[in-house]
Amino acid sequence: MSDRELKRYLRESLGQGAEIKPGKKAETVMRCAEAMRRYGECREEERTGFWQFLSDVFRFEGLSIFGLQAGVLFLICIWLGTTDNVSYYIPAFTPLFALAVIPPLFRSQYYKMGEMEAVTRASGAETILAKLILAGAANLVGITVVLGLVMYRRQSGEGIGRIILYGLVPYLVCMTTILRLIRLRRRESLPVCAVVTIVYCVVWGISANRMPQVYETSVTGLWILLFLVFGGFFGREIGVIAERKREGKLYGIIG
Amino acid sequence: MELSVDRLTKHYGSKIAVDCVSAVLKPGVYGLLGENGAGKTTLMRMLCAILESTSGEVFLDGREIVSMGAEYRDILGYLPQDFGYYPNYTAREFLLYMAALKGIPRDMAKKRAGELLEVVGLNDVGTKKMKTFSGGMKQRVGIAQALLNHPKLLILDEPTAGLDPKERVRFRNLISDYADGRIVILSTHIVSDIEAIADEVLLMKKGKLVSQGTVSELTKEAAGKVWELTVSPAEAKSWQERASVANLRHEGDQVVLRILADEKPAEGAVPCEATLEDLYLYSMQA
Repeated sequence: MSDRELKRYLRESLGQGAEIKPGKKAETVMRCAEAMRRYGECREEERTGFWQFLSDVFRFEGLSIFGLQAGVLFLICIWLGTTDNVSYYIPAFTPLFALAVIPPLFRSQYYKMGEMEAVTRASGAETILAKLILAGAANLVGITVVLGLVMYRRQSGEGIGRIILYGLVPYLVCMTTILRLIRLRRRESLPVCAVVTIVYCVVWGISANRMPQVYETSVTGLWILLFLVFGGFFGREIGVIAERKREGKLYGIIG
Repeated sequence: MELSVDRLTKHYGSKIAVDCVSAVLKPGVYGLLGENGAGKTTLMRMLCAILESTSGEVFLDGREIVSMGAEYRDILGYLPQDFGYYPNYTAREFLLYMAALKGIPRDMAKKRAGELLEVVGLNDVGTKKMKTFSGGMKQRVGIAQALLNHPKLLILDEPTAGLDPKERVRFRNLISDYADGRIVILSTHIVSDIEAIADEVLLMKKGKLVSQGTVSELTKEAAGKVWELTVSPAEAKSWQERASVANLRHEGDQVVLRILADEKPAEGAVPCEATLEDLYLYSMQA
């Protein structure tokens, strides 16, 4: 619309037929510009969704999460290559994958960024959930490779179900402990998580040597029961994080 | 926009950190003054909804802030007093990371990070790792991250700590420009910063809000209580022991004391204009 048309339109619309004063017009333009600026400031800005957030977390933390998991996998592969009775030692190895999740989960606490991160939109629940998804994906790959290697060393696929249980039960126990400690907001949870996970590794390692009966076929029922119980606990912890994320509430040490 | 603080209280065991603080804050710059341990940081953390209060509530436009959750944090910018950083991030990466946590889309985040680095005077070192930064530079990155989401409520705990005078002036100008239509709450020990930018001052003592008002309103409270007295150096020492001396300066062989007292402290004392610092010191000694 040209300037002249706009003037005519305004004159007709107002029905006054009055002349437009240049000074008033400039003032009106200035007021409109100010109103638009204020509108722009008040307007709700676009925010990213969870999947975009996950990709951002991957961009910033992916390398450390996957790097640590790859390092653990490498060490386990070397260890498995030099050990006999490999299936008995799986429970001692898989908690190491959980151990490798600890640094990314506690990174903000370690670097005193917790407070600053807690007041962001992500709050902590969303960040932890994103890190757990990424770490979980890496864990899945790592545990699958380990189980594959065990099968290869045994030159047999027999008892694969039991071997999967030997790998998953200790992993779930460790992850549940870690998440529970974070949820209980204990400031000292970082060293406690690390120590507990290492103790689990040692205990399962000792059991492989001293209690071979634990790994007999007759005890499979107990392993299934443990899997169901700790799978339930782990699911509950993830559920709590997802709920906090949905409600936008704080989670973690600061929470 | 209105932030109402309703009888906010925080106890740590038997210690009362914040004692029944009530205030209504409208857009403008609010300076929070108080000595160490007065409860400023505790109050700010409760205003950010990261610390649960023992009793009392905070409302933003009538809505309780904890129940607002992410919606509240979306309009909040916060600079903690003692904050860390990821040493291997560059300043730009740090801002982009914080922008990601604030849910700002990547393109917008890149633009904002660039703008804010310029605003805080770090554009030329934006690609340098933060572990190589001085305390003041880190503080400026902290200020920049608080502004990333264009917060309507900005809470800054000791934002000028570690900034040199030139940067403090830059910060004051930045906040004065930014505060239009927004609530900015900042705490500092540097009274001149508050005098320069705060529309209102909240004076805290032992967890309580003891005074609230504009700088001129508050300085009126100290009017008639500030005196200047010229004495010899030997007398100056004894005056420092028996009176509240706000300032001391040497003029030739003599010493000019700025004394805070309800009544004329000595025959030669002359009344002088009170400043916010005088009121602050007077309130703290009361």
